[in-house]
Amino acid sequence: MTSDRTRELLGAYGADPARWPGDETSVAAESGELETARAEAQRVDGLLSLYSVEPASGALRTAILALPERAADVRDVARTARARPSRGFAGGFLVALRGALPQLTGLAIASVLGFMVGVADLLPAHDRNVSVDASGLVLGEDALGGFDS
Amino acid sequence: MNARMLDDHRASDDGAGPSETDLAAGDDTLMALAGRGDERAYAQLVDRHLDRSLAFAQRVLGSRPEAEDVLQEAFLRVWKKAPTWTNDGARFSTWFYRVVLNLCIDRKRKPAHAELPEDFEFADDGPIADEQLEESQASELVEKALTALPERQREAVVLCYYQGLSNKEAADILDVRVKALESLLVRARKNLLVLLNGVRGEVLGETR
Repeated sequence: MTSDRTRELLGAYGADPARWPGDETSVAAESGELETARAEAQRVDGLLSLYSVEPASGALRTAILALPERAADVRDVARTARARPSRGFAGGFLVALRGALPQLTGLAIASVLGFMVGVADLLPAHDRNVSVDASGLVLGEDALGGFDS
Repeated sequence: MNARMLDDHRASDDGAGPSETDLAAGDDTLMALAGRGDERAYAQLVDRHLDRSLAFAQRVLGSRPEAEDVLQEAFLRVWKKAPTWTNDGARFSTWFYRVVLNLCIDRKRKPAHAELPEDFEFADDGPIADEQLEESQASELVEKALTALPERQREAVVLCYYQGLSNKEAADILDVRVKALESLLVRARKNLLVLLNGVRGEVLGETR
């Protein structure tokens, strides 16, 4: 083994030959010129050894052991969703209709009110007082009391 | 797959606990058993690899909570992969480290990490700390220095030094040649020496 290679090994793997590649651990040059490189490698080894990491917590282990069960739950939900019979076009239309029910109800009420106001306008003049009274009944004048008109 | 071990395992299902064969089973055998829905085999894989892979992820990410998230995702992949697991010349541990590493890389890409180039070397511009350091502080400081390294340099050090993998296995995981791995290691260790220049004497009990 050349000094250059020993220096490379010290620089890459550190001062402990046990950490060197298996086929290169047998010869560790003792040349004095490598002492600086060896001392430097020892310092880095020492620094790296200071960084300790706690083992996994019980909670993490439990969560990881539960993963297959959770994966099965997710699979079951997906399978159930796939197994649900298709509604077809008519079924889909009904579902869409049910979703839009509040908006359709509002539209119907507005249409009825508009129709009544329209009819009131078409009545002869002598009947208009009646229609005004009627719109007042429909809208509820009391209900307007709270607003500035 | 070792058929005898599977038979042994099926026999052990009648008993209360795992058999000696189970405990001695290799990772490939455990993967095959897990692939048949055997959660005990999966649990053995977890026990065998959890601590080391968690330490690996934490050192790569510099964050314990993120490392724990990564490990949950990684072991979920183990469970999902088990039914189709085949040993294509690569050891389970090599495949698993690669999964963990890729998840770490994905996670690091999400926030705006300003990564330094692989060939980056720090200038030795003086100590970063002068005070006497407690052991936990020293650990934290080394963690910060590792985190400050360019990504590939950090991964090389973690795989070779902390995980104790062979240069060939580490190179496979990083998908580089052994020479390139050694180059990464040399630069990483030089950078660490510079980054930790101010503390190494006190921490290591050296006279400066």
